[in-house]
Amino acid sequence: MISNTLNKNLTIKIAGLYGEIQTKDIQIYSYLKSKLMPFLAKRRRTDFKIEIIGRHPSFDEKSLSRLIFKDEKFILCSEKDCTLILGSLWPKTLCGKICAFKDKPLLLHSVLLNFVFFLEHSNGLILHASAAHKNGEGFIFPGPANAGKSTIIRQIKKLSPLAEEWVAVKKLGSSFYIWNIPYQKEGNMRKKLKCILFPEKGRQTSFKRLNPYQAAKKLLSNCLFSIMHPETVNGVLERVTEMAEQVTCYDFEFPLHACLDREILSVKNFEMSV
Amino acid sequence: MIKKDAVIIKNEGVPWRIIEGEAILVQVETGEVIHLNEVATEIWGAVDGKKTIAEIISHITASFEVKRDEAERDTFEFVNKLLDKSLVTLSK
Repeated sequence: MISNTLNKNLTIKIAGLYGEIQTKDIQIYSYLKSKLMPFLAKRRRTDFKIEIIGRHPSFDEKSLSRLIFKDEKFILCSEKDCTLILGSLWPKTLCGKICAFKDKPLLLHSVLLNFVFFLEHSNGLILHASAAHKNGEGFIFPGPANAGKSTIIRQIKKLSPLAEEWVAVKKLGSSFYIWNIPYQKEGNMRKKLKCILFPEKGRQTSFKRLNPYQAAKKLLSNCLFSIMHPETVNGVLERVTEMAEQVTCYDFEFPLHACLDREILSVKNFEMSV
Repeated sequence: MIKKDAVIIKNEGVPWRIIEGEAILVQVETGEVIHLNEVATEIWGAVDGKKTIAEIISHITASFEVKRDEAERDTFEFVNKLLDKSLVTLSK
């Protein structure tokens, strides 16, 4: 008789964090492995652990999961019904236990929500932004839907795309670095953050340097939070403040269909002329 | 009606930072990001769980070129907003 269970773990590396996903369900193991393939790592050291325990007996609805704080615990539950408990997370030990459920893409969403939570508790954050890079330096373009995040990436031919929707940011030493995160084709691309540009579609190309206060306000409005909890928000706010003070930030108005290579690559010269 | 001898206490669950002399507060329950101007930031900074509203008004009058009645009106208005958003509580 062939057993359909195994004791094999997946080690992934996302935004510099090594995470171990433990499951005994071969179907879940295969699915997560295929989806997280570009982020698989061989290293044994782990920063966070997620154990996928059994299958939830009744959770088969098409609902995303969300994190709540209840009875002094971080709990994963159904977005539609917070009484339907799907797991627990412990920020101090960076460990999580979550239930598997029928819909595998939704399970992947849960795993990534866990990752965002652990990233927030490891000096990182996730921004709603596109990103591109050149010569090891990264540019990010945060903004709400329809701000032009994806458009701007296509209009700058001399920069290589890094991310279109979500970017992980973390401070290492005294500098900030950016990473792409799953749902992108290539894995583990780390670039040193050079500049933040808030895109806005307009008639002409123009840069407006933002002071740290203006930049922090805009960055904060584009942060993704795993949970609105004082401890989590306080950590993200601290990093946003540091980013706004250390990294040069601009409002960047750009016309559609124009090539923006010259403008972007002259950012450094522009800084010197301000 | 808030009394002048009331002491204001910051809600400990409100993350906040001061950048370039202006404060950003986050109302965690609603996700609202609140931006304070220079005067409001000075009031927020003076809220230490010890000073009364009267003492905060004196502090604002001493820090800015503003008349006492104007400082009083602005401080009460701002404190009411903070109370509405559960960012502070009153001790009395």
